[in-house]
Amino acid sequence: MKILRPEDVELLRALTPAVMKGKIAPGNSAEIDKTIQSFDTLMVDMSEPVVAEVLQAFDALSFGLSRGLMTGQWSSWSKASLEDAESALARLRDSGIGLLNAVYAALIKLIISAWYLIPENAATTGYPGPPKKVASPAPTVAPPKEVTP
Amino acid sequence: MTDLSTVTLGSTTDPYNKAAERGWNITDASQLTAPLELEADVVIVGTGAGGGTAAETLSKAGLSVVLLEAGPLKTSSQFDMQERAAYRDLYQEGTGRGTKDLGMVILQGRSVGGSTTVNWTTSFRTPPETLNFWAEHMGVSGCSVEEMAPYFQHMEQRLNIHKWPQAPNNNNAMLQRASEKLGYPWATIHRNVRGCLNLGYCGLGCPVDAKQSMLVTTIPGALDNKAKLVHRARVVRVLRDGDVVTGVEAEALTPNVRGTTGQKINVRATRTVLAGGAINSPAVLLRSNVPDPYGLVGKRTFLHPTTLTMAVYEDLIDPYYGAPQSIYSDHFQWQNVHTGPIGFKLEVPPLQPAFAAGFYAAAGEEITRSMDQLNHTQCMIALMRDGFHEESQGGVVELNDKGHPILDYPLNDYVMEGVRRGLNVMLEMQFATGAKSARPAHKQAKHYMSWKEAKAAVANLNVVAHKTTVGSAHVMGGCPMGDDPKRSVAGVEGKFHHLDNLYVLDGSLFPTSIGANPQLSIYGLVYKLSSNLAKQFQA
Repeated sequence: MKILRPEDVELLRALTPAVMKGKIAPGNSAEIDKTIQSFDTLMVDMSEPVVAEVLQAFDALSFGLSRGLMTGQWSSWSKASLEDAESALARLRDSGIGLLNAVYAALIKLIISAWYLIPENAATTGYPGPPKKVASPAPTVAPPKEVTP
Repeated sequence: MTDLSTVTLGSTTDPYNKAAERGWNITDASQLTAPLELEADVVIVGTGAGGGTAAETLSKAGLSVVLLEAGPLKTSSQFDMQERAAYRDLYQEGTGRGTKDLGMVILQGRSVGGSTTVNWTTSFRTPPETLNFWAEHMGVSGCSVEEMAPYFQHMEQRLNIHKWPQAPNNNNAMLQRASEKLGYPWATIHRNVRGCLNLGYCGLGCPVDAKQSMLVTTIPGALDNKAKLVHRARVVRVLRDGDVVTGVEAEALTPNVRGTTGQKINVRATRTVLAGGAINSPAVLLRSNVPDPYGLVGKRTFLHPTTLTMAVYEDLIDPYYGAPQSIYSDHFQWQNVHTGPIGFKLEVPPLQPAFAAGFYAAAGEEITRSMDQLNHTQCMIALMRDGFHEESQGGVVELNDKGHPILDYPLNDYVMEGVRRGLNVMLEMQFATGAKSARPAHKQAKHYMSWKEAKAAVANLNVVAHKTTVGSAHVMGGCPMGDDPKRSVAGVEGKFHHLDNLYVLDGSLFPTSIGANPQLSIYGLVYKLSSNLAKQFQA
């Protein structure tokens, strides 16, 4: 990992199957780790202030009292079940504190983006993908004109 | 629409492939091994809609121009229509730019060409209502509809801006159909394209240079006129000799533009032009500790706070393909210009998967089931026209301890009332056109199965910031222009009120939001102001 720390990975291992329910089974650690790897790449692509903010939020979500108060998860994330993770997310989402709603939004957006930025995952939406770009100067084949629905 | 993944595109159109042949002077600051000292008649900070237009106008008048850009030079040869690379290379903070309280995400470009490299080509002249409001209430002279018309006309010709002649894609067609059904006026959008293949990837960098962005029009024009372009160079502050600005000091950024290399770039110039856009232009002024006797620098920054609804249809929509924006409705925009509730414009956005996935503000099966139907999904957006009513004063640009700009823009009740109205209007439009289900972008919402159900559910939703998805792709203001220094940062000729030889020539001059996608407003205004600036040198 280039940016994510071991405790961030532990947090994301617990939350990713809840955020991507229907796409990643809780026991599918290969798929979870692939998503976390993509998340780490995404963090490399963000700016320094954004990374600092995300890591600050992860600190609060990872440790002791703040983790418990924010998410209801009082034991470490490595012990969290899928239901624990779902309840933690719901608590952040439904909180009356705007900052916690914002943490929820940023967290799920990064996990979801990390997953859908992997091209084979994007294909599950019915998206066939973009046109092929060829590096060498080759004639451009114009797509057929669209037919009005 | 046809499956475009089977289409093959070449890279013959990239003007930068012939940079050496054309004698272009382009420096990648990340590769500097010694400080760089340059001199010019004019140094321009930023290469977006403002900087690009100013560079071509001033260099055409025979002036020597240096263009500085914090982002990288990325051109069509590298635009492969993949989301990850585009968001990383072409957007501010890798699309991670947000407001201070994280209530809004801000999409703003950051590469040579600025936001014009990644915008969706939508081109409107500044609406007459906006220009009249500026004249009557914001102390702006010389910018009436009649006075601006020739400048818009010039830039429309320069950038081949014309009414989109092809059929709208299904995503836009639904906005048209819904408007017809409910009796709302709608119209076809004008676009700055030449030989557009109707692919739908404007937001990821046009792969065939059909989009007439600054990257392929005015910047090549300026380079042909011997302008020098230095990219991956972030301007720290303006240089001063007493009350006179004498140029800028910049720092070289690393190849991925996330860090600095330690090399400095100094440009000495007779005139200094800030064109980094709203947020970044005020940030340069704040870092420079310029005189600001009325505390106006960075104030009144506007975003067109934008909310959205997603609907699923029986028919295929393929919302990732085809010209991203071709239809709009202003039915709810101008009922009251500056009294009463906030107005909004209705448009649609393109939905490439990772981008679209961020719209729902949902997790678990709510998001994954929604995304499974993306090819059948239509999205509408409502863009709030901020800055006209006294309860809409916009945001404030501040600096963090490292000198990075942060926009503090709390979403107040006045704006959120418009957001709630917008959600209702769009849900009704989607059900009126036969949507199977529709969902407002709210963290506690779900897909509703009828307009009746949706209306009742939205009435019970707490439509506040942080619970509701509100974002922005239009940054405006922060250095408002006007005749009165007590109410404006720059004069109506773009000159900074309190120092000599310093100009602001970009969208940060707008004293309110535009009430329309802002690119042509920036082109027209900056063409006018830079033409006048060029004349000063001849005098």
